[in-house]
Amino acid sequence: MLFNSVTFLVFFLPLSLLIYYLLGHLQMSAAKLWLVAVSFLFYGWWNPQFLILLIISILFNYTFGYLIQIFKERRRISTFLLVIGLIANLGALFYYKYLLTLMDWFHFLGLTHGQSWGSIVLPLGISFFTFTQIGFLIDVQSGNAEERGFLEYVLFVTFFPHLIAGPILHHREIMPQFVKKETYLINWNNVIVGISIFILGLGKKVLIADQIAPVANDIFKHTADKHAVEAWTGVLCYSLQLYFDFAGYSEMALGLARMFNVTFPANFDSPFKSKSIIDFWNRWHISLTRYFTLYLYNPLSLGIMRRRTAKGLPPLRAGETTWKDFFIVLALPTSYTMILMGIWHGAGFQFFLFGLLNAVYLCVNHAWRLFGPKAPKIPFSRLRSWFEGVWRWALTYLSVVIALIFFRAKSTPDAFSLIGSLFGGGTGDSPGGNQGVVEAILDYFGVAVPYWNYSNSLITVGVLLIFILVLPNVLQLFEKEESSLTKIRSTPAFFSFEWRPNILWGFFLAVLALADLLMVTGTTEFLYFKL
Amino acid sequence: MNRSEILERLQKILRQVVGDDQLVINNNTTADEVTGWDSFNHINLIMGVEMEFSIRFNVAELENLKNVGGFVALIEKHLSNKK
Repeated sequence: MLFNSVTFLVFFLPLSLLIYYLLGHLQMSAAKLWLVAVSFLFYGWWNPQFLILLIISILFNYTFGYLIQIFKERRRISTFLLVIGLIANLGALFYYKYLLTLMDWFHFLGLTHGQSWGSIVLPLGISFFTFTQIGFLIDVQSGNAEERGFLEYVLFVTFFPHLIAGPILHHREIMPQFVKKETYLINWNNVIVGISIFILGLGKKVLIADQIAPVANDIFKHTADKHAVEAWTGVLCYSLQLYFDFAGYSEMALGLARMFNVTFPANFDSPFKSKSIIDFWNRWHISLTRYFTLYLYNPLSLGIMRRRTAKGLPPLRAGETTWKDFFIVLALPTSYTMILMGIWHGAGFQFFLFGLLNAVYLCVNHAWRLFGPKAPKIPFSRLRSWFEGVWRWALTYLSVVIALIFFRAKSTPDAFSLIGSLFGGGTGDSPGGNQGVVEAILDYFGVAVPYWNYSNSLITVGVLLIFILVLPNVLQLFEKEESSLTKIRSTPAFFSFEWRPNILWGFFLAVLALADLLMVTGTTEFLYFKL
Repeated sequence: MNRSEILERLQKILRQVVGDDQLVINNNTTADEVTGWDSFNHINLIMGVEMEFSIRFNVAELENLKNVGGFVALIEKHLSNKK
């Protein structure tokens, strides 16, 4: 079931909410059980056979979490159990997600012969629920999660707002909410805040992302030999499609959870406002960055640092770092983390390159901080710092746009041919599409400019970017309502305002909801569902 | 060593790590508020603190830190365990 389908909006959500609160007022555990039941229904709607996999995964991880907890004092046994748990989880993920691609590769390289390997259907959300539970096992072993009962655990993993595409939750931030009695009693403020956030998220998905999708899809269908204008239009549209699709999804998740009195961590904090790549990764898919930093980057980086310190070498400091230190202490763990992050998104080689490219970006960013010119003692003039800001923003955004080509392209050669087109590699035929506004005006004056029929899409890109840059994001709009568990990084927007439970907002959201409903088709999937 | 002394020494280390001699922090300061206090410099800071106070953290403890105050409390806990 999709958040943007009629079944979900008209039947599933209202009914599950209503019965949840009816049961909650009678018997807390009945409401929990109901929530688990509807979550299973939600998941099983696509393909009931994957429910079995989900249930096996939950039973396995709960048992291992329990055992690890029992043997907590005996480090060796608990570590051994953790390793077995990790191997099993990653093994399942590998089987469903990577095996076929790998076999195709081997076949391509001539290492295997014979028939094709059949097909393995990727179970929905497997990357997410596997990662959530791996995090749980690590947390139990390190004493950061405590077992709280089986039903609560099942709820933590399956709670339908996050099950398919995150945000990736930590056990310790969610479990306390599921054991509280108030969670199961109706709180009208939370319901209203939840619905408001949900309407805004749904709007991002159906009114923006789905509308610019065709332009983006077109360009990635045939990447070769595109005219530069066409190629740029396509990749810019794609960056915004992905942004609004995933931001919309994440806000819907945030809003849905809130309707059930549960607060999630945020996934987005205006990433396209970032003025550096380091900043970007702290604002884009925040729960994923947090996950990789915690479980991969920190342990590795700390391990390397400890070895240095044991040899008597000092920590790295701006101005006194050598390139050798830089590569060992920074570039190595960063590349390792980002490449794995890339592969997590998909099985093709292009995802490896997506991770690698981002690793390179991050290393350049860090290198500039360590080796680049120091910030002057006297601050720049206002004009100069404004230009500085624009330049940093543009460089960051364009770097992201280029990286996202690897994220979206069907294959690595496709990605490179599109990049070739961006820089004038293609001749392109006369592009199709409707006559744009600018072309129409120029036409009226008898001026014919080729490729201006993309002007509508380009104007849309411009308008959307301006929206992103000057308006407050959802976290800021609902700051007083503590819409998420995540601390807001964005500075106040140019036009700064907040959501209020008043008539004006009510009217605006009602109109938006109506528009959302009219555009809801339920046929467009979310881009992150393919993970 | 009391908390304000720990905070003072922590501030000294953080100033070196992020390269800002003027930086002033208090218990409510968070990493997001300090320019340059990113995931990489966080590790640097932890190493600096471990050397300064001759203590050793484990990775798990560092996950739950919310602000400078929490960090100071963690250092204090390790110092008292050492005695």
